[in-house]
Amino acid sequence: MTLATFIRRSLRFYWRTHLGVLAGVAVTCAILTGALVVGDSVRFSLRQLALARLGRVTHALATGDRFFREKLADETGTAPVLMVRGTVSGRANDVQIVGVDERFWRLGATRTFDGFVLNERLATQLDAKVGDDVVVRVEPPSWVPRDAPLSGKADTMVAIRGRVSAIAGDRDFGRFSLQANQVPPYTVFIPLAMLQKELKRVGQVNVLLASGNVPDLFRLWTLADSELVFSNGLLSTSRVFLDPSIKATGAGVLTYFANEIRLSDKATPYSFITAFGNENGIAINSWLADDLGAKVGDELTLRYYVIGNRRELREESTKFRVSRIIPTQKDDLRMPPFPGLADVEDCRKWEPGIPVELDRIRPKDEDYWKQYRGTPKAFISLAAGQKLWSNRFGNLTAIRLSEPVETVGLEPPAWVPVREQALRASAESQDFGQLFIGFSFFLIAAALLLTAMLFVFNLEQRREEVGLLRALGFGPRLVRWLALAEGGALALLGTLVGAAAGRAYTKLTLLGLQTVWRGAIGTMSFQYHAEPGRLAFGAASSLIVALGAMWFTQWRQMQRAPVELFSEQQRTSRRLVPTIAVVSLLGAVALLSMKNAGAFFGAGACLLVTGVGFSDWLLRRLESGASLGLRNAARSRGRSLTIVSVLASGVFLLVAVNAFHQDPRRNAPGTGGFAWYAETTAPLYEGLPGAVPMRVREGDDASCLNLNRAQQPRLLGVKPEELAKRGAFGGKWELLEQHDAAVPAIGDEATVKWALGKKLGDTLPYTDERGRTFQLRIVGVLANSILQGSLVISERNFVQKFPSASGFCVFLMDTMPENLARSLEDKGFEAVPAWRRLAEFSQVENTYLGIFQALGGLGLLLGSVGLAIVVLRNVMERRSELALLQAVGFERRKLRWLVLSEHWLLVLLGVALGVVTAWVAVWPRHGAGVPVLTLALLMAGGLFWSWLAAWMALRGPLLPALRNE
Amino acid sequence: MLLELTHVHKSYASPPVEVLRDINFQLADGEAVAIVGPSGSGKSTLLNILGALDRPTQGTALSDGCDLAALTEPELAAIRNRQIGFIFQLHHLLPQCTVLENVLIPTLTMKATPANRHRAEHLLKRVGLQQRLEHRPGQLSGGECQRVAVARALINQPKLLLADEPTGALDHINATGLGQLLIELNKEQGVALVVVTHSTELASRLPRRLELCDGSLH
Repeated sequence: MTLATFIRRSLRFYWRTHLGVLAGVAVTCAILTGALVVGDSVRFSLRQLALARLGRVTHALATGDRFFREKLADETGTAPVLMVRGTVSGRANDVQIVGVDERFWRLGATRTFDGFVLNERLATQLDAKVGDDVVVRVEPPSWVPRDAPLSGKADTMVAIRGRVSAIAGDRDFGRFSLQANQVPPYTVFIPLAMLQKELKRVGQVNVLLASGNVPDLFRLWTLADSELVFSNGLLSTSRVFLDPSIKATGAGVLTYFANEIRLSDKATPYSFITAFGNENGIAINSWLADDLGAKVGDELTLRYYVIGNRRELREESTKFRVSRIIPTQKDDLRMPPFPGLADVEDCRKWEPGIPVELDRIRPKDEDYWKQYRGTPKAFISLAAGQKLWSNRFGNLTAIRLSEPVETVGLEPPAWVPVREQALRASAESQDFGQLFIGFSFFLIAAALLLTAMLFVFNLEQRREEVGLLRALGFGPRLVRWLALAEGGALALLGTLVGAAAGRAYTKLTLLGLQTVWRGAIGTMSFQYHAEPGRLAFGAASSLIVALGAMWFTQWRQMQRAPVELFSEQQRTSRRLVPTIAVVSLLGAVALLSMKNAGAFFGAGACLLVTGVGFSDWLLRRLESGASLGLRNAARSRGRSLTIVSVLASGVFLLVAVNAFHQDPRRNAPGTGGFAWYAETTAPLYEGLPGAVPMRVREGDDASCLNLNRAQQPRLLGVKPEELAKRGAFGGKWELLEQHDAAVPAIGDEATVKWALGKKLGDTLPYTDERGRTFQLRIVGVLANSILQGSLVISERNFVQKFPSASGFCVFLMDTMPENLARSLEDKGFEAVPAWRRLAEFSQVENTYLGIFQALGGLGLLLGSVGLAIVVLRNVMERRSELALLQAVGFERRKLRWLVLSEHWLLVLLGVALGVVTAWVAVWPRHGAGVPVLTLALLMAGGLFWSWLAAWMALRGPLLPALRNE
Repeated sequence: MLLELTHVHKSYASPPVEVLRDINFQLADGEAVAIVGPSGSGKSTLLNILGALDRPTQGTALSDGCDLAALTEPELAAIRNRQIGFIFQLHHLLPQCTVLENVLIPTLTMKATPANRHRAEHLLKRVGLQQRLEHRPGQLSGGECQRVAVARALINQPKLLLADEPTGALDHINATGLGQLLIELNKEQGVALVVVTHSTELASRLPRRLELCDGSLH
């Protein structure tokens, strides 16, 4: 006989009671490991999706509105792509239109495609199949930013028709996207050459995709890649205004278009004027001098348009005194390639993007145009010209180089490690493991309480054994070791069973996330994946927690003297419980005054402890004076209080969480007071009447709908005063204009806290249009708003960082004019009532709350199982007592009522305590009311379990129990 | 002196009651004594103090000259294990163990040796249960169980055997047999014997008889 034999014998002999403990530990372990593996599976699935959307692409070079040579792809061994956004067949907006060739398909598909290829999501949206015709509408990228002065005619759309040749699934790169989101974009793949031709960008692309090592671009990047032209000593750009970042030494030139040059009653319409050198006054050519009859010393008035941030046209004028008259010679090199001007033979066909009164053009003007083209008619100093015509796109249209062109400093954009970013976005994604541990907290606590209770039952059952061992000279440590070794073996076995059952729990949870809880994650399928380390961690944690619960209950028993263990005496402190209850009440009052979500749980827990203290007091009162049944409830106060605690906690969660359900109404603050939220695929340059327009820099969706950690969230640019004057969203919009090294940004709480993992005052690195990194600082957080998913910065900062991003794509509107949607169909206009957009976001939160409640409900189920066990246990222990009552004349029905009244009191006490504490904790947030039906079902369940257990325990003859006594 | 109580008092605070009053008691090696008294007179309390299961409120309890009050709980446990054997009114055999294993339980605090098993078998043979070694307590009669408890009490060769109403739960024949066994073992093994009992018959068969009345020993 050894200690090990003794433990083995005990394990085998008490297997029935051990089974309960084992089940409790197994449930704890299954939930804990299951929750952790849910996290693993979500992360793994996101990683798989990230790899599916990028194929073998490791780096990308994406320049947005700027285009470079397709040949660069040949020189670098990469895949050239032309990417723009548009609509398809009027039924899908915000479609990614991707011009590709076989080099693209080789990076991620099992085969190459030709013709129009839709990805599965777009095909489903269009209900399209191979052979169907589709029409892709896209705004051709402008050579000049649309907000720039003289950018040419805007608002033109190109329609590209084609026949669907294939539908690409995940295995065929159909998920391709450079943005981290588990939901693939709508995508149509078009042959590169065809898209280039339709967009008038032959030989140009705006994306390169690389796999593996990326070549150094400094060696290969040419003037053409920066959209620069060098001719006759002049460095100019097809974008009209030279980017201020271009480093070149030489004399700057700024050529502009004047509406009129006037000398008293004589005026010459529509002329180019060049700012160059240090001209003192204005030098005019002989043609203009003749036309105006001007001579040196005369004062000329120049009228010209300037364009504000929102393309507001403002005609301004300035006076210059004629300094000299120069011969008229054809020299139109200095004229920048203004769209609608430079390429037009007949000046009556000018479309410079500003109002031109063609009837003011005289035959002599037409002759000048034919003979001298854009030869400037006047010259002013560069300083004077820049004062008049500088804008956010630049302050030069050309530079006359004083050095070899090879020395011009070109800054190629940087390769973005998209694969690394994607893997990071999935690795740092919403931690569903932690989330589900949080959600399952009550379930775990209930399972642990059940385990501890069953372990206590086990110890109570063997109390005499412990007393005997101690009487026989077993020291307290050895007795404790024996009990813990036995419990440890059980816990280990339970953990192993639980770890296996955790797999089922995970799969069930993942199934739930893909079906009934789809609101939390959108359309996404998960793959089961368990990291061995995390599985071991979950199992070890369960083991430790179970052993801790066992140690605690065992420790309490060892506090008693051996002789006490031979009797049924109970020891409880009469002072400790009231003291804890009062302290908890004070804690609850303090926490409730904080009025935040975190404090709510603390206050709730404190209130529950107070309530349990109150129940203890009530049960003590029932020890004397109450009816026999109620008095019995007080006999095993520990058990009774355990049941009350579990039920009360569960009910608390159900009621309190229900109060947090969002049900946005039309006037919810999160709408900002706007009735509509609208987006367009192609920007609107003039805005919409009565709407607050916002500029958009596309980025990762940083809303709660994206499970990935957003790396570069979408940015919105707005004039802060337009929101401030309405007090929209309760935000301090003026903070967006504060001067700071970092760009001030305001975001929705869900975006800042969950999607970005930031808080107020934190900074976030961001890349501007030229590929340079700057910092965004969170200066404001909005509560639950329709702006979720993006960060908002001031329009002033926006255009400074993204000067090429022209027009507006997001609109907050008070009304929806009739036919607006139809008239903007080509632009991909889509509007939703603001409250509905809010409701979509709330749906996510509500789904999470629903999960919380469902798992809480499972915890309650365990609680009611515990209740049934307690009833059975109580009755079995008291069978002789009940037999005695029967012997002295109690009817069986009365005995049953005696048992039921005791346990129904506990059910009622638990439910009442849960409801009251929840109401106090969430006061005054009772919008969603009390889940009456759930509570009724719950209470009915509790009453039923008690009845069933009492019935089972009391069936059969009782009197033999008396004889056994 | 094997055991010596001097001016021992024992009282409980809640509810306030003095169970033992000024008890003076001495027990020599190998001596056998019966303590009788009505229910509630404090017999079991006295036995618990003698057996180092409880401590007196006042007075001293010496075991082999060692003050029990000065010992820690592990030291007291060691004394209970090596020097004292207990027999209770109910046998308190562990249902999960066989008869032989039940007898060996007190040896679990020490290293297991073959000698322990031999001694256990010898003791069981002595109490007439050599055919029942592998039986479970549930398969034995009440008298047999109590005899197993006697063997268990003697397994570590204690100097003192304490029996608290050892025949209280037995019928007359079994009670007589067990009483005789205890007296024989006292003589054979040289172990001192203190028996707390209601049974005047058993008490009368022991050489020394004390009566506990209202907490005082006479």
